[in-house]
Amino acid sequence: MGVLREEDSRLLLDEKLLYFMDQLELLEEKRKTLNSLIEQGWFSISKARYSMGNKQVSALQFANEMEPLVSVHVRTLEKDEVEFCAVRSSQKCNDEFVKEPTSIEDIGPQEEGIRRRKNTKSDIAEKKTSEDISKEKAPEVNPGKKRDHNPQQDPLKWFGILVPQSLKEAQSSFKQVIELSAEIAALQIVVLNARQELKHDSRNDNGSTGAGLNTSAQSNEKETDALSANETTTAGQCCVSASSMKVFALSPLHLRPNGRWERWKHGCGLTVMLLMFPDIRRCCFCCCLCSSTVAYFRCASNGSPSSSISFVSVERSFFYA
Amino acid sequence: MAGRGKLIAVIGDEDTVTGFLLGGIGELNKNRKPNFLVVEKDTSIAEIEETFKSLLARNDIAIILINQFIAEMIRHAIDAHMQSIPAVLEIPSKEHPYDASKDSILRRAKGMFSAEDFR
Repeated sequence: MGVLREEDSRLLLDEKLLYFMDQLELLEEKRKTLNSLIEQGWFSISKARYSMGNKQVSALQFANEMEPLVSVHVRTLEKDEVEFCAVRSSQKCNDEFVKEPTSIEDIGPQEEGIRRRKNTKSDIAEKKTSEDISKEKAPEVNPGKKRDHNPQQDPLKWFGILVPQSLKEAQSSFKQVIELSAEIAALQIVVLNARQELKHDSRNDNGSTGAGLNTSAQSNEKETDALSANETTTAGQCCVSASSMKVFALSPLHLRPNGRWERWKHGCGLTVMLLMFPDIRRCCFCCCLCSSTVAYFRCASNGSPSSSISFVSVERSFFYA
Repeated sequence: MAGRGKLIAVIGDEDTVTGFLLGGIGELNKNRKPNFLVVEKDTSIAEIEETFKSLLARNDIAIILINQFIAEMIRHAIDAHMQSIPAVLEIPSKEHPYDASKDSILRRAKGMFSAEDFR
């Protein structure tokens, strides 16, 4: 029974890991889109500056009084997840629109009231990104866009009455960027939460099987206190020569005889498995966690004293499974 | 305009801020501090950090957009920010393309993986 539970928890862990990786990939994709949209926007601004003149498109043109046209509705869901919904107000002084959110251009995950009104699927997972939802909303969104902007509101007016097309293009690029930023903000939080959950669950899981887990900074500190006695007796420091590291890292499977795997911990909290050889004196590391190139290691849990060297494939510890 | 909506703030170079203000996120009036900061060559790091912290302290800001090279200047302040709201989004700048390894969020998401996680 205990074994079955362990298996279940491991499967769960795998699922969570896959979910985390999926969300991370999605985040990367959205970032790429965001970055290219921003670059497009800059290019358009530069083109506008070329046709209008340097001084005409600069911070000097900002109005003295501005009102935000985009507001973000934040909704905190269970499990610490947060939804960001960027809402653009098309009209300013119309009470109807304030009461009727359906007329506002809704971008991003829908709030519950609107969701019901628009008869979207009730089983939309809260963790789902807004892409699918905004596609469904596309027909409703268009009428909103066609509505006239209150001329005093449009920032385009700061730059003159007749503005070149490139400035309008810049504006539309940045509008899209703003929508995307809301989605990315939500996704970032999802990714961080998934990571936390994974860390927490894997620690629990390993805790039940008795293996130690030293990933969080807090537990590192506790470990260090407990091990301080050991540290002084172990040869924790190694100097490095870059070439030797590369050689080993490239061929981590060339195990030499008399090698022994030991668990070592970097000062930044990364725990790695190092293959210890009695005859090699020096080795070089680049910590994949904190990217420090001079790595000196303190010996972790088992505290196996070793006056000799450590081979390591730090990258391998990242993907070790 | 919905009363309870929060704002998007931006800390960036001139073009970035111009672009986002074109998008309509800027707020500037006598009563409150602006929700944007144009960072020039002579802007001090202290000023940037102070602006960032004041934006964090405001409860009506949902997202802070910041150029990555500026984020590098105040990396310690950004790393110290652990809450979900306001969300800090690092964006590239014209001279400095986006570098995922510098992003605080991604570093936090990637970090701390070790062999034990997968045993």
